[in-house]
Amino acid sequence: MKSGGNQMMHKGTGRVYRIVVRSELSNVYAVAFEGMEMVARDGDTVLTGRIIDQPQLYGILERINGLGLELLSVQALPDDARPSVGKDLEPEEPEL
Amino acid sequence: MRAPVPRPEQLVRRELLGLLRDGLDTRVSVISAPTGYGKTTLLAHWRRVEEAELPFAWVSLDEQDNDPIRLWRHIVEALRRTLLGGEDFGAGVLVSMSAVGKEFAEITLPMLINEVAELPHRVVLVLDDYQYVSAGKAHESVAYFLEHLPENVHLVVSGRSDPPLPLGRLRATGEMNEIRSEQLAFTEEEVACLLNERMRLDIGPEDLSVLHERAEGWPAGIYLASLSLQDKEDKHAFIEAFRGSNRYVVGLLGEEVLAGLTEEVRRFLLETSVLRRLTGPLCDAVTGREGSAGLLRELAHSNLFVVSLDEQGEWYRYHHLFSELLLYELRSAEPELVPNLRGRASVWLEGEGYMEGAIRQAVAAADFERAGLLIARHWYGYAVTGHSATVERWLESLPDRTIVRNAALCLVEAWLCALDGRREECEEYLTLADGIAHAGPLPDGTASVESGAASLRAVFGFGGVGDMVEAARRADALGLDRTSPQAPLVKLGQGTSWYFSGNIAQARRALEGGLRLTNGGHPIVRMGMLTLLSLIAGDEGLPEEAESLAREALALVDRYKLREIPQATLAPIALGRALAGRGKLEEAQEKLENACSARRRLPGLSPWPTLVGLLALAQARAARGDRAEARATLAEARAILEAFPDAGTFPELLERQERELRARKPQEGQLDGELTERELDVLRLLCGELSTRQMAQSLYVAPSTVRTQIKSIYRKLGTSSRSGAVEEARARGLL
Repeated sequence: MKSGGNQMMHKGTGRVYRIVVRSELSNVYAVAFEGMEMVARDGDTVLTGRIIDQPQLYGILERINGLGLELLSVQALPDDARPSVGKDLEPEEPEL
Repeated sequence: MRAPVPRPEQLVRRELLGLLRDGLDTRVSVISAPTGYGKTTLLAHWRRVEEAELPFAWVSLDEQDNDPIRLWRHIVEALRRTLLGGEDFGAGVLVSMSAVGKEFAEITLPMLINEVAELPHRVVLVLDDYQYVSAGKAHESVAYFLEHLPENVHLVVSGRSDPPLPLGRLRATGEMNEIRSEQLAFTEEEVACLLNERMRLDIGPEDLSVLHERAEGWPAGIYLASLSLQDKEDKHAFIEAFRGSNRYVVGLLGEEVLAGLTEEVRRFLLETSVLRRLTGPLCDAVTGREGSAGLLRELAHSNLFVVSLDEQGEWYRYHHLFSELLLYELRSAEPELVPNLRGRASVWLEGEGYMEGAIRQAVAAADFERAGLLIARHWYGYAVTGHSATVERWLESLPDRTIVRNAALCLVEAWLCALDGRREECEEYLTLADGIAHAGPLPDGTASVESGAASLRAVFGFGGVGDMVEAARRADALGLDRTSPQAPLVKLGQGTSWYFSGNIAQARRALEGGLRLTNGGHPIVRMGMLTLLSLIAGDEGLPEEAESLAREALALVDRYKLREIPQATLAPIALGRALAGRGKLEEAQEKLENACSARRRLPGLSPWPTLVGLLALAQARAARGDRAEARATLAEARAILEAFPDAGTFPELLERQERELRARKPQEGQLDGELTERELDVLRLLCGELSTRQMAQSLYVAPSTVRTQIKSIYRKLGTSSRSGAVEEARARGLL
């Protein structure tokens, strides 16, 4: 990265994001979101994983758009969050 | 690039076509909806309906159109295709594109806008798949175009996301027609029409309603459902199960469609999903089967997700959603197979001369070594025929580390930089190439890295004329093989360096020998040789011959569209010089002014042709009595010589011209009148960038008035051009 705009990023390691889309994706689509954990349940699909920087995040959002999926929320998780999905990690996120 | 071919089974959506037609009263139509909503299909139908009366210029964008130059080149070409005998449309725009670089929006676009405005008819300009444009510069250029949209253009921007263009004002004033997913979603009637009338599936109204609701009118979902339903005995049960599922519609139905196919077809679809465009022989090569052409044709008939790209049924592509599903399926089931399939595709594409695809497949397979080899092997044929921008793009698809470790690729980069006028970068790549061990000939047939670098130095002479001569000698000693593709280049280097160092007889011999070696190929190299021979003929007092050689060089520039390559301004310089030699001063001056101003914008170009141009221009100006301008031109040449002291015969030539100019008396009969107040106003504007029309606007007078005043200013200042007037006015302290 050449210039600013990365103040929200943590050096080199990025940040863990949770992205929720409507409808359940089958495992076939996991390869579209490599590096993200993908869990489908209750009519939604939750993608969780460490994202290095904003271009990578926008790349994923663009892929979601490319599949015609409805994006429900994008949330940056607290620093100590681990890139895994579990019941312990369920604060209600505001809708995007 | 072109619009896809509509298919008979597709629904023709009359209501939407009506909305589009009504929208022609506004300035711009924006079609914005997720993938699978039938945006492209709708526009293709619209085009088919209107085309007889209203020409459509259609541009299908892709990721590479983030480069504004490429984007606008496509737009110019699409507009050109709407004109009968429109080969010349936008020619000037294309030339200026490469020359202006960063000033694109200020110079090139206004030119294009004026040219479009002068078209004798209305035109619809479609930018389809606009979501692929993500770079700010490309958006800025389209935004500028939109803000200055000529009256006779209706712009259509279609894509998966709202274009980041300044649409607010247009929307507010009702000058924008917007079609979004809400309108694009199928109505229940349309679902009924597709399933029952077109596909004769005989679905009851309630089931239709369920289907419509579950797919939310998403056309891609409905089409997939119709495909799945074709071979279902109990259609009601299928629809019920569909209703009860939360799965992603395309995933669910797509997998259903795949499951309903024979293993052979399924396999074929999966294995060919790595291809962006499909044709029989390519699919045969990738899948190792035979008869793919027939299978493709069959699939295109029965499956709406196979799109035909031409009327002959040779090339196809899969619908974006379907091809992703296939590719993901393949990648999750057999990830190790993907690079193999891509590798086979790359080999076939190379063999058939589709270098673009061959390289893209190698890059997609992360086989950068192969991609690099392909570039190093084929770049020359592209670069010498005016496609250096293509080679540039290929190189950009490689990781930097691949390039900086590969001497052949560094050398390719160096050539491109030299042609483009990026002198410093060129030197950096030459240094890099020099430091990398590379045994034996390069993939393009060049004898060695050293000889390739020497040829480059001899042709462009960045290191001075003495260095050029030495480089030419080295290149010749190292690359003796006359059959090598590099042999004509060596000759060009010899001819160039000898000419600039005053060794005319030897230069001519090398160039004439070189011309024979090119054997009708190597257009850029031949252009260079003819240009130099024209200069020699001019020096020897043979102006007719000089002109005919220069015209031959210029014919190559036109034929191979070399105009977009800055270094190709050599040819108009030679022609201008030859015309001056024949006493056609006005024409000569115009040619030379244009060529010199194009080169002036790129100070990193080889300085020697620029000097030739400037000296010839000064001569022509002096001969026409424009002493002030001639003086300014010589001063410009002087400044270049200061930066390049090792300049062969140039210092002497320059001094002679300077002496002659001093000795020349001002032309008689020239009236040096005082400028009026009004003329002084115009003069001040002449220093800026405004066109005559814009000046007239800002002074609240008619353009013809401004033109008269400009003429008068020129006469009083004793010049014949805008730059000359400004120069002279500055010299007289009027500004």
